[in-house]
Order: sequence, then C-alpha cells, then structure tokens
Amino acid sequence: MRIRPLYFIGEALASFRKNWVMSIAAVSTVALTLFIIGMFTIVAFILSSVIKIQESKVEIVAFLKDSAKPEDIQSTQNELVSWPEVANVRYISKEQALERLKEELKGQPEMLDAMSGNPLPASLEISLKNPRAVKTVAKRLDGRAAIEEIKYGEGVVEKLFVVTKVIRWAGVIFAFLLCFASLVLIVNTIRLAIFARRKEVAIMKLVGASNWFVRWPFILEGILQGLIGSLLAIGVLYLIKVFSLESVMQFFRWLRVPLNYPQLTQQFYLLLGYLILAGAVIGALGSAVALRRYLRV
Amino acid sequence: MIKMRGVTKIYEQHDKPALDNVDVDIEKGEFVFVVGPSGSGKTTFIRLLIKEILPTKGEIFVAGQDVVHLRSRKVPLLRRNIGCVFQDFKLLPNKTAYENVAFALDVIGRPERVIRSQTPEVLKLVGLEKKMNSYPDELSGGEQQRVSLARAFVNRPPLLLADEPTGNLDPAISRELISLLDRINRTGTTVVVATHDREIVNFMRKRVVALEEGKVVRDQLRGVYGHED
Repeated sequence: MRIRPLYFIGEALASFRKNWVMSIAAVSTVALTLFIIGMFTIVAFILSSVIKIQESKVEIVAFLKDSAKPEDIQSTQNELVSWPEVANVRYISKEQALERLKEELKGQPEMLDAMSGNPLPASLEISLKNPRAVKTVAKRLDGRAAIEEIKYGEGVVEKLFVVTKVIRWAGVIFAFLLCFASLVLIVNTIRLAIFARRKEVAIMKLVGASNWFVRWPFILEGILQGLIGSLLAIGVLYLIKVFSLESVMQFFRWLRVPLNYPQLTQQFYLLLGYLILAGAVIGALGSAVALRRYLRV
Repeated sequence: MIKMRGVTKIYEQHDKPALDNVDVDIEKGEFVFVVGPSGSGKTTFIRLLIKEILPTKGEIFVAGQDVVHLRSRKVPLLRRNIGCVFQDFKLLPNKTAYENVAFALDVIGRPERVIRSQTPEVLKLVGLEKKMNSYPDELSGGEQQRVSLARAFVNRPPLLLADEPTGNLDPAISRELISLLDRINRTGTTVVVATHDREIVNFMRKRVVALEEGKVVRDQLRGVYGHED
C-alpha cells in the first residue's frame, strides 16, 4: 500500500475537529501534566544550584602556630596543593586576619579597642574539589609541625550533606513518580478517546485496512494533541518566568546565594524544548499503545 | 470460491460447538443462502471466512487462499477480496454516504481519480445518488443497508458476504435489497447470505445450506427455507 501523508494528515485533522471534546480532554491533560513536570524541574534546577553553592562553601581552615617556621608553612602548602582532592589553598597572614576582623566588626569599634596587639593566628584556607572529602583531608593534614588546629565545621558539615542527599533523592523519586503518573493519565485519556471510536477501527479492519493504515491518523492526531498541550504548558511556564524572575532574583540576593542566572536561563529554554518533544512523543506513543488492542480484529 | 473441510468452532466458555464438522463447497458465481435459527452457527460461518475468528479444527479456503494459516499481515489483503454486509450496517457515523463508500477505496490505496468516478457510480447502482451527502443517522435503515452494500461492492470483490442483511428491515425493503444482491450476483460475484428471513429465501429460490446446532442438515439447489426449521 502506498503511504499518503496528505491523506493521513487530513484524516487526523478531521477527526481532531469531529471529536473535539475528547481532543480537548487529551490536550488539557497533556498541558497540565507537562506544566507540573516543568514547574517541578525548574524548582529542582534552582534547588540543586543552591545546594551546590552551599556545599562549595564548605572548606578547611588550618590555623598555624605563631612559632611556625616559614619553610614548614611553605612545605605544608606545597604538599596540600599536590593532593588530588584539593582545589585551592590560600595563605592568610596574621595581618590579613586582623583586617578581616576589623571589617566584620566595623559597627562595634569598642570590641577592637579591647584587644591588645594581634591575637589572631595565620591560617591556610583549603577549598576542595569534592566538598564531601572534607573529613579525610582534615584527618590527613592533622599533626603537621606548623599546624596548631584544624577546623572544618565538624558535625555541621555532616548534617548539611545528609540534608542535601535527602533533598536530591526525594527530588529524583518525586520526579519519577510524577512522570509515571502523567504517562498513565495521558495514555488513559487517549484510550478513552479511542474507545469511543473502537467501532470505527473495527470497521476499518473489516474493510481491509492494514494496521498501519488505521494507526497513522491516530498517531498524527496524538502528536497534534501532544504538541498543542505542550505549547500551552510552555506558554504558561514562559509567562511565569517573565513575571517572577525579578522577585526570585531579589529573594536569592537577600539570602546571599549567588545563583548563576545565565546558566539557569539556558537550562530553562532547554527544558522548554524537551517539553515540546515530550508532548509529541507522549501523544504518538499513547495513541499507538491505546490502539493496540482494537487492532486485533 | 469457498471450501470448508471438517470445520469445527468451539467458543471459549461454551461446551457445545457453534459449528460442528462442517463441509461446504461454494463455486464461483453462485448465490447461496445459509439459513437456520438463531444460534445455529450462521454468523460463525461468515466470521470464519474473513478470519475475524479462527476455527478450532478444520481447513478453510477462500479464493484459493488457506485462510486458517494466512499470516496476519496478509489478512487485510484477503478482506479486500471479500465485500461484507452486516445486520447493523457498520457504517462510520461521522462520514457521509459518499465518504463511507469512498473509504473502502481509500483503504486499499486507490487513486483519488478512481475514487471520484467509482463511488457515485456504485451509489447510483443502489439507488442512492440523491443522498450521497447524507450522514448515516439521516438515512432510513434500508438506505443505510444500501450504503453498506455499495461499500462492500465498490471495489468489485469476487466474493460478497452478507450476515442477516435484512434483519433490521421491513419485508418490502428486504426484497429490494435482495434483488440488489441478485443483480450483483449476475455480474459474476459470488454471493453468500446468512439469514433466517424465510420470505426472502422462498422468494429467491436459490441454493440453500441449512444449519442446525452447528451441523449442515440440508444442502439443496433452488431450495426453500423449509417448513421444519
């Protein structure tokens, strides 16, 4: 049999119009579920970059003995740089430490007045490639001649990582459930639409239509419904972005979380593209799956 | 045209067979009534011929093709050689009379040009040239059955099957419809009509195959419905 795209597209459009109640049901189901998935993904993107920023703030501070020899400090610093877990090592001298304290206590000069000389130690600030390695690195560093004390927010850090882990897993599980529920909902809606037309399918088969001849208009109709649904969803998502971006930025500035907005925007547009694709694929697959049992005549 | 050998059909959850060891031969160009009371196996007989169902046992050949062992991919090709008319017409409710008939040609990939010339022609043959653009629910039962007949015949199949075609029609209309089937038969098409409509069988005086509880109890040329049935 010759495949005639124009005939199939015509059939798909005609049935979309003639079965408009079912079409609207399918389109709005797709739109709603894709909107929810999209919204969830955006929140997940933002949350994950917040987590990443928080985690990267974790670092090790090694306070140095006032009596430490410069060679010892230098060799410890060199050794640290050579470790694979370490991203960066900064040396903070006693004077720099005092400057920082002055900066922090600007509003309360009386605190500084009470201090005699410079009681602050010099230190090495070590940031890590993988913040989770903080404990091992701290342990390995312990006992060097130049080092007085090592701090890495023991206890707090572990809790932070437990929290971020839970958030990540909860996100993955929730996303999985959401996708599954959406798929079931959409396929069921399409199945309902096809159930209403099962006689039509049976007649086609009795007149001698091949399975693909029956399938194509349904699949094209499914793609059409999926596309319209996903366009509605991304339209709403886009509007939300336009109207809420400024307040979201303000909120995170207030929280002092420096989000990478260009990157997030890029991810947003990528997400919209994927949603369109998902709509079309779900529509096509949903129709094919829902049609299967009625083709066995 | 049709050859059945030892065909038995037992439906699931029924202990009695719907067809029981049936042997039937129907030659090319014949007009045959398959008669019998409800539940005697007439519909099963028709459904087996288009491979809507499979027999439990036995061999079936239609136009030289082994229906039982036909690949499911080839079933559409078999059905294109068989026109079908049903008691409930089985018209697509969202297509006009013209579109319903044209659809049968669309399905088998006939070019638009052929469809445009053959569809009105066959609708004229069944006397519906004035109602081509009506939807099924705007037509009477007799008119709907004629659309269905036009659809079955439009691609000139060598075999035409009718399952209780007059079941929903009153006697005068039934006679008209059977006369149409007779005209189609005269063009060389083999026609098989399953019916329990005593009047049309007696009116036509064609070959009669009588079924009872799934068995062939009588096979008679120029037969009548039979008083005992």
